Amino acid sequence: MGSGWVIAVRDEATAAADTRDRFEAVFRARYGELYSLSYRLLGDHGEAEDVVQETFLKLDGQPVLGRPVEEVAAWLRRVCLNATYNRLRGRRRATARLDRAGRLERADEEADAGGGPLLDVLRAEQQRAVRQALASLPQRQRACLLLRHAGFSYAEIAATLDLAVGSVGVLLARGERAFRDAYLDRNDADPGADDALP
Amino acid sequence: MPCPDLGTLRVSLDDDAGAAPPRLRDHVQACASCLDTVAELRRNAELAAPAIAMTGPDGRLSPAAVEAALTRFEQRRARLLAVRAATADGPAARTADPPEPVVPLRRGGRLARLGTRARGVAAALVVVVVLTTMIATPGGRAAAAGFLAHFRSERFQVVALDHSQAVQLNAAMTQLVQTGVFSGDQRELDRLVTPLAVRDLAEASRLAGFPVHAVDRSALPRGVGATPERVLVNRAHTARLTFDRDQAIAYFRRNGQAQVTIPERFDGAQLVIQVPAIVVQQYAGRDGTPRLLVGKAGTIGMDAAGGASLEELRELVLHLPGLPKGAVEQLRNLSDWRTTLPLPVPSDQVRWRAASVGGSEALSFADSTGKVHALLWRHGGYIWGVAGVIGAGEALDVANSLG
Repeated sequence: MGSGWVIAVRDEATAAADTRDRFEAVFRARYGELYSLSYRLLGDHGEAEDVVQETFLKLDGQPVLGRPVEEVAAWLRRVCLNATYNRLRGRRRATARLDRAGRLERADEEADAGGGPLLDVLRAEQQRAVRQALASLPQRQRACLLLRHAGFSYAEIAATLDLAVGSVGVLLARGERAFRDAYLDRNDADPGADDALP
Repeated sequence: MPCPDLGTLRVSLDDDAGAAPPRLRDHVQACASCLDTVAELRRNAELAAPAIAMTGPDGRLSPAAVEAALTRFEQRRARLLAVRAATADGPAARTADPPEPVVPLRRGGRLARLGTRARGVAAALVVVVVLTTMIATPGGRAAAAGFLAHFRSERFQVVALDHSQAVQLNAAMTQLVQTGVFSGDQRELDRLVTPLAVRDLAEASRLAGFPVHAVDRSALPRGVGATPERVLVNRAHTARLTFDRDQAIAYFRRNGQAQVTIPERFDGAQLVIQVPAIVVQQYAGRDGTPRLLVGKAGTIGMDAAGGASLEELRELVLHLPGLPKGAVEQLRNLSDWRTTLPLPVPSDQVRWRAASVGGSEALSFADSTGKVHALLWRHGGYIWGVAGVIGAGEALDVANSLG
């Protein structure tokens, strides 16, 4: 009885171990930036972490893991942003349900509830306004704006959104203009008007 | 030069002063329309940048936070894999017992029911009765097949597992059992997890077949009751685990290893585990909670029957996909796998070092709080263990008073 079967198993096991090592390396290298991206839109640590974990679960076993690192990173950003958008949509649906039931609490109670310093409350309110303005943008503009101001290069944004690099500037310019309009409109409006009970 | 498009103008804002093409710079400087557009683009960007920056998390995630996230990810992945395996294997497999951790320090099992404070004792007890703990769970039975399939316990060696490795190991082992790669007589295996609570040490001695004495009062830590409040016995017996070649090949394939061939003679090979008698004495503190556990067990043995040798089955098990790489490496590096009992120890919760009890080599353990200490050693043909919410010196005093 030869030991060929053992060697065959060992080769397979080595390849599997390499894939695992690569996965872990990608996780360590990309987790922080994905978390940061998702958090910027969701504003909730637990939800952002959950979204990033879902993103890596989708990567697990995907052939894309064998592609060059920039492609893997772009794939991850794309999946993470989509998962975040889905989460936001789910949140809006839940909010609408509560709204209809007349049980919606004022969102700013969240900030008040902590009883933190006034500046914290104001900051939380501003963050909420920014997120609401971002949420009102078309999906690609929102992603472009977010990626750019989170520090990604034009090439990275193009790879994430599957665009030509030359198209990123236009998308960014339009996104920033739309953001300005949405943000200033909200700031000019009566604070908390969106949260008023029906 | 015609007026550049909006995108080009926007990109030029992000370039260093000298990076924009000179022709573009010259044009913008000379074109009122472009100047207006650039000014508006700049205003928009200057509004968006700090606003979006404000939504970011406070500071960068530390490497430790990322590692913790990776651990949580592995746990989640292992749970998913276990669910997928259970779903894929039909109703018979789904009726199997739910999986338990191989090193169940945090949840589940009899030990966890001892109460909050006693969980520390339970953690240490795992070290003392690690074999029964392993064999007690569906995953553990297969783990026993793999990790214990090679020894007659003459010495110990720690196999350090962090929590994610323990979870990964458990998921793999659970799959092995649920998919029928290893199976055993349920009644035989159940005996491993059902220790008898007996009346006293005399009865324990009779059932175990070796003498068991109470700890000398002078050696007991302060605040610990003089007599054991509970005595548990597992009688010696033999358990058999049968290997199913077809199920093993299917298992390899499901895990992405389609080219595996296993000799036909392996089919039906058995791992025969000689489970020794084990007696555990439990002593309570003044508040009635368990504070000290003292264990004594015979020597553990393992052999193979059928068409595969012990060494071949060991090789096979160590090649199974899904086992934590670090654990496999440690097992491969055992200096003498036929006589060394590997002790899976959660390295993120328990520290250990070499020690000596009455001149015998021992392993000394402490949990991360420093309040729980344990000792494990071999002497006179028996495995001995002491564990509890006691100091390291107190554990040593108790140990030295035994045997």
